[in-house]
Amino acid sequence: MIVVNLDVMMAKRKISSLELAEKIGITQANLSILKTNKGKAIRFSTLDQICKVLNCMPGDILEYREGE
Amino acid sequence: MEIFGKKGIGNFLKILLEIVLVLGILILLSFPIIINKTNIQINPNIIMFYPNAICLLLIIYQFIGLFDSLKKENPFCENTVKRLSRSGKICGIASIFWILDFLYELLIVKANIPFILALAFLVILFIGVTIALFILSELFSKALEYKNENDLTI
Repeated sequence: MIVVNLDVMMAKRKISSLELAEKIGITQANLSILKTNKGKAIRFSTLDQICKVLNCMPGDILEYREGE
Repeated sequence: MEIFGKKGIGNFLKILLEIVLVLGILILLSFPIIINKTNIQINPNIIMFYPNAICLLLIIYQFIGLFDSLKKENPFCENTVKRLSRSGKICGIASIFWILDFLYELLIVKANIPFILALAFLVILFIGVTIALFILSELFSKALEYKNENDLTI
């Protein structure tokens, strides 16, 4: 399964959920869905914005783990 | 024409269905009295009237519930799927009653042809509506699945 490690990257960049959501241009509710791994898919445009704001690579946020 | 929402015809239809439901219950309750007053002979057709009427009233009740979810302007929810499949099941039970009535008239009473044809038409109608309701509920459950997936794409 794919795990979203947004928390770690946000802590490293010292950015709050509210600030990140505003900069990416999504609602806080949707960001929360993403952070809690409840999301089913992520748009490239969203990923693009996240990487731009957090100044990181997609691999820093997304991780593959064995099993469901 | 607007169907959903506060000014839609959904509200009007819902009120209409509620009136029909209340009238139906009243007629069902007063039916024995009507029979007593008019001296109609009690035959299986009249006995059959009861389970069929109850089935139809239950379907109307389910549809009133459907209009409730339309009112919230979100037709794609668990409630719609559940109510549609429940109406389908009830309609299936009603069509079994019609089939029994049809077979009774055809094999035991040997009623006249127009009456049997009318019953056959009702049997086909009810089976058709049952299938349609099940297909609709399946469609809605698929749509709900896609909607959820779309909502969870961020």
